[in-house]
Order: sequence, then C-alpha cells, then structure tokens
Amino acid sequence: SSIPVSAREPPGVQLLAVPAVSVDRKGPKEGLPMGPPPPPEANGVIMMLKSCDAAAAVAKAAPAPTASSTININTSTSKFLMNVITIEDYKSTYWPKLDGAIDQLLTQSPGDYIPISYEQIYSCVYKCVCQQHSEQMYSDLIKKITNHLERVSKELQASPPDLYIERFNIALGQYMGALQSIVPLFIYMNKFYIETKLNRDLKDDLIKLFTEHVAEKHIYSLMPLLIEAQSTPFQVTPSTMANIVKGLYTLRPEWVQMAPNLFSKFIPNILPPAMESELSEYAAQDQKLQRELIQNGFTRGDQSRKRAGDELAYNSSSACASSRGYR
Amino acid sequence: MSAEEMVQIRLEDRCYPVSKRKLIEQSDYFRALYRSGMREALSQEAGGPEVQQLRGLSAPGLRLVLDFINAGGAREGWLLGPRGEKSGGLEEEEEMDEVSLLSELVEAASFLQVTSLLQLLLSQVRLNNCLEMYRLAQVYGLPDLQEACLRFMVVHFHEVLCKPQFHLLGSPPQAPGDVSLKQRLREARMTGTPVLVALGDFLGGPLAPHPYQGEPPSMLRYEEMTERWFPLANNLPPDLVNVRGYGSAILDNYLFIVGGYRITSQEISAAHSYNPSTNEWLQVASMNQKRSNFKLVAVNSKLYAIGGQAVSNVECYNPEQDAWNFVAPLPNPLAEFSACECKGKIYVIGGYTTRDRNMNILQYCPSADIWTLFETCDVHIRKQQMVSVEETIYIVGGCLHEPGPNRRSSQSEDTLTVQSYNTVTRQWLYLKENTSKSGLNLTCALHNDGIYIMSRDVTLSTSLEHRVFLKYNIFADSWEAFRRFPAFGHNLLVSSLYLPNKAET
Repeated sequence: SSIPVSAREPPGVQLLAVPAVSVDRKGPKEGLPMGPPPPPEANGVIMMLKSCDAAAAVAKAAPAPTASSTININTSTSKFLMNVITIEDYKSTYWPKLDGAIDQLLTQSPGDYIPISYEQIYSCVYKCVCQQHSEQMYSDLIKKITNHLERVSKELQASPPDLYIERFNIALGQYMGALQSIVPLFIYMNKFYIETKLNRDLKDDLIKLFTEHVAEKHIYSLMPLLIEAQSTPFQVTPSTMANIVKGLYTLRPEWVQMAPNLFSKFIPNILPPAMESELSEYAAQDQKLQRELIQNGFTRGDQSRKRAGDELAYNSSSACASSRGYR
Repeated sequence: MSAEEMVQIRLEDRCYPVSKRKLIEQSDYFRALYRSGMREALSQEAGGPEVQQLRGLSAPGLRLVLDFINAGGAREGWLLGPRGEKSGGLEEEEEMDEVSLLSELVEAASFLQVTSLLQLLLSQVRLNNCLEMYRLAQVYGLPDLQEACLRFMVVHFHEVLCKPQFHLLGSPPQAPGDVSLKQRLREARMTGTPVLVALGDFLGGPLAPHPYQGEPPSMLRYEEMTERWFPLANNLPPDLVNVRGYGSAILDNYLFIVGGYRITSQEISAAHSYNPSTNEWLQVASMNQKRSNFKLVAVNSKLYAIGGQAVSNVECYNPEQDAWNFVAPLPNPLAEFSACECKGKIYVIGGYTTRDRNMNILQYCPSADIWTLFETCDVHIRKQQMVSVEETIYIVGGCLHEPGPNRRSSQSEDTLTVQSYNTVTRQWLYLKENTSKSGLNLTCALHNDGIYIMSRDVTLSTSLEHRVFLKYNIFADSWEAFRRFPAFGHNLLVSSLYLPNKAET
C-alpha cells in the first residue's frame, strides 16, 4: 500500500519539494521476524507511519492495543536512532571509524587534502551521542589524543638541539591544524555533552592536552634555546619564533614570566608602557643594533622604500621587527 | 554578490536547493563542515561534491528545517507543525501526526544544529506535545528545551499527569537519590509565594476592599504587608456560583471544589480545580456519588471524598487517571463531622451518626484501605474544622458537649475554641478560646505559622453579623486580629495557595 503524500503535508507550511515517503519507512525492518503484515487499524495512515519503528511493530503484535498506547513516546521513528548501538557496537564499529579519521587528521600536514567525509564522521558522532555513548566517546577521544601527544613529546625529546625549535614548531602547527578539523567533527558531542554536561569546551580541552603533555614537558629546555636564538639573528626564522612564542602564550600566558623580553617582541602590552625618560635608551639600543648590522654587511638601503619593505620583515629584516617591538 | 550561491542538499533520491550563505548562517553543521577542510568543504572546481549528501534524516523533518533556513530564520508568527482546521474525529489522528512530524523536525534541527530553530521550539511547548518534546530534548541533549518542557509540565501538572503517555515517560529513578519526573514536578509546584485566597459570594458594599466594577469578584487574595484584599483575575466558574456544602482541599497546589448542593436544586457531583499557576479553573471528572456537607481530604497525592448527607461511602480521586473510585466506606453515615489528613492517614472526629453522637475517632489508612476505631473521646464535638501540623491535629471552632452535669455545653456555641489532639500521645489540649467569636460556620486555613480563621463576632446587642478575620499563632499560642475582612459575603472559604512570583508572571 502507498501513503498519500498529502497526508504528510502540513497545511500552511511552504514546502520546497514533495518527496515520496521512502519505501523502507513502511515495510518491516531488517532484523525483525518476517511474518504476515499486521492487521490494518482504524487510522491506517498514522499506523503505517508509526510502523517504521521496531517497538511499535512489536506492540502491534500484542493483542488489542488501545489507540493511545500506540503513540510512540518511548521509542523513536528516527532511522538514526532505530537501531540501538550497544557499547559493544560502539567499540567494534563506531569508535574504530572515528579512531581512523582522527589518526589521519593528526598526522597530516596543514593544508593537505583531507579525503575524509565530514558527513560520515559527523553522523557517526551524532549517533553515538544520541545513544548515550558521549561519556565513553569523550574519554576515548581524550585518551587517543593524549597517547598521540605523548608520542610527539618523546620524538621531540630525541631531537638534536639544532632542530629542536623547528620540530617543536612543526608539532605545534600540525596539532593546531588537526584541531581545525577534529573539533568540527565533534561539535555535536561538544554542544550536547561537553558544553551542557561538563560545562567545558572541546577545543579548550584539546589545547590543554597539548599544554600538559607536550609544552609543559619541553618548556624548560625550549625557553633557553629560544632566548639564545633570539639573541643570535637568523638562527631561527622569525616566523618560527613568532609562531612558537604566540603559541606558548596561547597555551599558558604565565609563561611570559620566563622571558618577558622575548614575549614582548611578539605579544603586545607584555611589558609596562615605556616611560618618556627611557626613550633615549631605546633609541640608543636601536642605533647600536643598526651599527652592528651595518658592520655585518647589511646596508640601510633606500630610506624612501622602508615602509614598502615591511612585509619582508619576517624574511629579511629582523632589525625592523625588533625595533617595532618597543613602540 | 548578485546571485546567491545555492547548495544542493540530497537526502535519499531528492535534492533540495538552499542558499549557502543562509545555510552557514543558520546551521552549525554546515558552518563546521565548510571550515573543516574536509572533502565536502571543497568547491566543485576543486574536486568537491556536486551535492551535500545527508543520510538517515526523514524527508518531512528536513524539509521543515530547510524551509526555516531558506526563510532566513524565525518568521513572524511561526508556529510549529500543522495548525489546520480541526474536525472532531480527526483530532487524535492529527495530534499523533503532529507528534511524529515534531520528532522528525527536532531530529533534523538537532543534527544540523539549527540553534535558532531549536530555540524557537521553547515557545512552542503545548499540552499535546510537551511529553514528546521532553523526550526529544532528552534524546538530543537539549537542556533548554527540557527545562521549558518541565516548566510547562509544572504549570499544567494535572493535565499532563493524566495523559496516558506520562507514565511511559516518567521512568522510575535510575540511580538512588534520583527523583522521578512526577516527584520533580510535584515539588516544583510547591514554589512561589504562599498567599491566602478567599472564595465566596461577596456582596461588595461599603467595606469592599477595592473599587469593584460591576459584579463583585468571587475570589480574593490577601496581601499581608498592606493587610488588604485584592480581587484575583479569575472568578468562580458559573457552575460553582451559589453552590453550598461543597468539599474543598488542596492537592499539588490545585484548589479542588467538589460536590455540594445548589439552593435551588439538589446535590451535585461535579468537581473543579483552580490552578494558581495559570489562574484558571478546570473541570475534572465528577464523583460517582452526589454529595454535600462531606469532607474532602488530600492524602498521598490523592483526594478522598468522605461521607456526606446520609452517605457513608468514600471515594478516591487520582489525578493520574482523572477518575473517582469507591474505597472502604465509613462504618456509619455521619453528619456535622470533620476530617483531616495527619501523617499519611485520615482522621474523622465528631458529628452525629444516624442514631447518636459520634464519640469515636476513626482512622483511615489509604494503603490498607481500612477504617479503624482509633480512640473514643470523652467530649463530643461537631461542626468543627480540622487542620494538622506533623502529628498534631488542630480542632478549630465547633460545638463542644461534655456529657455530665454543668460542663461546657450550650454556651460554647458562641465561643471560638482551638484545641489540639496529638495522634501519637493521644493527648487533648484545650489551647485557646475567644468568647465573642462564633465557633460555627467558620472557615480556616493553615498558612505560614498559624491558622487563619474567618468567622463572625457575636454581639447580642445588635442583630448585625460582624465578620472577623483572625489568626491563631500555633507557636506563640496567641490570637492576632486583622482589621480588614475581605467583604460582606457568605459561603466563604479561605485557603492557602502558592501563587506564581510576580517576576515569573
């Protein structure tokens, strides 16, 4: 039998298209014993529509249900939620799917093409949340990422000192890049579990994991290297320096205290505002730096093009960047 | 940008065009999708998909959500689901249809995270969808909607409670310490400001508390700070006007007025409840037995209508079924007796049997459905009022008679007394008397720290009845008189209800 489409058409609501109700909403569901169709009931159309859910179908097999008892209050017409996901299903099917996607996102480089389908992974998260697996999924996600970060931290520890800063920068960049994709995949869990039940935020939580498992473990070896690199021009590219310093500041603003001068070069308002009495001292510092650069073979170039060259600051002129930091 | 960029959304074998800008604006799903850098985020030229495929949602639900998005969010007067003309026989069918459409809509809106649509649902909670909405809010984790449904169910508690679906939803507590939904709602009804409310046929007149326009109101509320009475917006339903001898009781902060008789005709069985949360009267199921001059008592979330004029039967009203059922009857019909609840039991004291004075205290146990003889008294009382605090019953007014020579008897009719009876120690205490006030035909209510009593002054020099409004303070064992009586009137009833706090209304 077919369902007249008009029966589903809510009056007064403009609809874009009139799709036929799909076939699988009417028929018996897979996994249910195939028997003779249930006898038609007085309000057949509604009953048909209700029949898509397994519990209602079972209820109909029971003798003489009253009209009101067929209102599906404790069951669902939702195709998503029709099949119960047990914790075993979650572990054997759903989590491995998420696990694979997270692995891929964690290990690829920023800007790489991501072959993952957003819709598929999001749906997987959605189903797990609606089937009350949020707690498990959240703990699995945190565990998974913690393990990954511990591995990242160990690899960093094994780095030779001359590559240490660059590798830290890559690890930070890759992780932050991965979060750009991982967090959107889990927004359903974030909104309907982490925000509402835990009063936290997934992105904050995942950033905190990096702080705890990577940054905190390396900050004491990293900071002296950064300070040293800062005093030696071009040992580390200024963009790397800027990334790391800004990144560390995001992770934990208190780290400024370990090297206020270094942070002040990249983060505004770190140091107290300059006093007028100190201006001549700053000017003297700049002049000294410029003299040193000239001695090292750098020319001041055409004064008229000074501003035009600003965007090159990270690549060529660290003098420019450093003098700006004081103003 | 001149032409809107459109996105084709495919569900099953159909495509729905939606403005990409609006989609990103309204749906967190699509906003995150386009930011994720994943396959579907790419433009077609960059190898992205031709359509945005969705799976598992229902087409009607998705269409409603996409309509909403295409319309650019909430429209003026947006209403949930079909609001067509309803013809009698189709109502239930339509309601069920609406319920299933609702769940499809909520699912699609939750999946696509159309927050503004979910927000809009908060104002769409109705009697016919609140249970389903509550369930959906639980499934999809929508705490605001769940909260809105709870608030609605608190306000319309009895109407929701008697829905057949309620017991399916109100699953038993899952963990120790959890309270059931029913219990939560019940407790939430006992919030607001406790206010004395007076019902009656007020006559207006020079002492009327407030300039009335037209008919004097039949419901008044008392403002303690200013000691003034104000009309309640709602009046008694016409059915209840001029009904005497009714039974009244408060259950779940509903004031029930049941049975009684009309001066012009005979006894009635109708039952009404006043809901202070909505300021509305509701007619509920009628009793099986017409009765008047009986007692209505609330015990364990049920009402008991006890006896009446030449009636010994007792019936019980369960708001979960909205139905009355007979329970164990009184041993005898009683007249001029009184009854109250105390520690989960009903106590009946005083009055007359068909043959004699009733000297027995009867106790009814609702769980066992048994009346037992609790104790026999030395003093006879009739026409009293009774309230209880913990294990103590307060007996207010009434006419005392001690058998034997020259003891308190006939003159006590013109004395307002307060006595207490402790149901544990079985001790009687004669607490207080007020010789100028009548102890008959009074109305009283337990409110805050005392029993508020409306009676009349008995002055022999004049035939005029002088109304009095006073309080017996239970803790101080003292009288306190108030100057302002609501109005001249008769057939008065005073009771204490929680009215919604002003900020909430």
